[in-house]
Amino acid sequence: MNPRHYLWILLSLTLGVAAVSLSVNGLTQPAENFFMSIFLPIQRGLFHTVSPVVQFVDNLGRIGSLAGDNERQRREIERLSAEVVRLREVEAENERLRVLVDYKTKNPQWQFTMADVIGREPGNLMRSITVDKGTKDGVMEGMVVMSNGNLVGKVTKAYAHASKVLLVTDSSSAVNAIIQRSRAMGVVQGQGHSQLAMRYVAQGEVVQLDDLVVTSGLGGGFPSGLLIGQVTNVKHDDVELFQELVVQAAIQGEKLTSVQVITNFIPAKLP
Amino acid sequence: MALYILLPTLLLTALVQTAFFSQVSFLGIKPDLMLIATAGWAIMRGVKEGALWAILGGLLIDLFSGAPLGRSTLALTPVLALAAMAQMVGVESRFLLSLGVIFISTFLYEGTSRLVLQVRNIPVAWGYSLLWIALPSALVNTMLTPPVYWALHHLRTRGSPAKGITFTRE
Repeated sequence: MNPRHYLWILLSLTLGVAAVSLSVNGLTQPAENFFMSIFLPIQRGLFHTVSPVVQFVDNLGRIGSLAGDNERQRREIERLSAEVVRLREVEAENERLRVLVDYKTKNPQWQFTMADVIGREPGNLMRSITVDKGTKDGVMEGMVVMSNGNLVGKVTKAYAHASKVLLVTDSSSAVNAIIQRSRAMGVVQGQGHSQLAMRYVAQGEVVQLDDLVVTSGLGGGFPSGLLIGQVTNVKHDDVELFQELVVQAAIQGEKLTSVQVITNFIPAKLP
Repeated sequence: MALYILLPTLLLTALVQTAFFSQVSFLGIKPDLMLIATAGWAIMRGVKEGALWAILGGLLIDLFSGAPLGRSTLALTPVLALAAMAQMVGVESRFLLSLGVIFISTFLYEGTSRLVLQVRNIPVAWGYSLLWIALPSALVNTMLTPPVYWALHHLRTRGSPAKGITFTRE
């Protein structure tokens, strides 16, 4: 190989390492902000132009299964309607009990801003989306993102008019969680696909399949009560200190077209 | 290659990857257009021009990614090195060479990307990543190489003559 080519390869390597080092320390933020403000409108336009085409082609491929999907969804709607009625009864009872024992509710009244998804992770390494709200809209790094009460993820970078959201399914995501039924606690970690792992659940805790997993609020990183997913498998080994659960994420973050950024919950920054 | 051709081509490649291929998956995997273009161009036009693709193209991709800026540039560097080494192999067809390089360099790309995460203390499932992400990615990227190579081949005739390694047979 020509010695000069080593120089070009070394240059590429050096620039890559330098950029990563500066980026993790937040020093590239002004430059990223500048370039995002230029490329974002183009990317957003292209994304919205391409989405219907992709959707159309996707639908063509699924024509054969649509009838079956419709029937399944109709039955699911009927089941959920009955569940809504039941939950309203439970909610009413809960309210009566709350008044009776006179304790303060822990559920925050969230204020949020709606945001459209304008980009998705271009590669296979991470699980993230780009939304069209940024610092000018009151969105800050660290804010929690949800979709109708389901946890989506967290804002990792906020630019002037856009933000990057790391999804709960990403392998670097970790959320303090609790099983709604048994109140067993643990940490839900992303694994790079729609199945999450809930770890550090005490061995004595009884966990059942289909148990709902919600955010616990511990650590102050996420508000409590956001649905994360449902238990689909329990890895129980007596010699281990903790059990590990497989949790199916409640929503597929990468399929979302809009989300809500909770703006009145500021995550605690622990040392 | 003239800058007035290189920069818009790089930008278009990045936009197509972030706006189109981010929504499309084959075998559950998103194709890596920038990797294919970088490797293909490095084989066609030499390491110097390939390095421009790796540096600028990688930075553009990372602007729209959740990964740290510079991660893609770092991950494309081994791709560049492999493309440079591959040109010393006695294969007449650059197209076939591109297919082989892109298949192998996908593993290098995915591996380097995960190494960046590991260095930042983010847990990486290496076995899962190798079997269920890198291998399907290599297949998908190789399948996508022909149309991309065809487009690059037409583009190269617009630029200046390639500098760098000239292909010789011993």
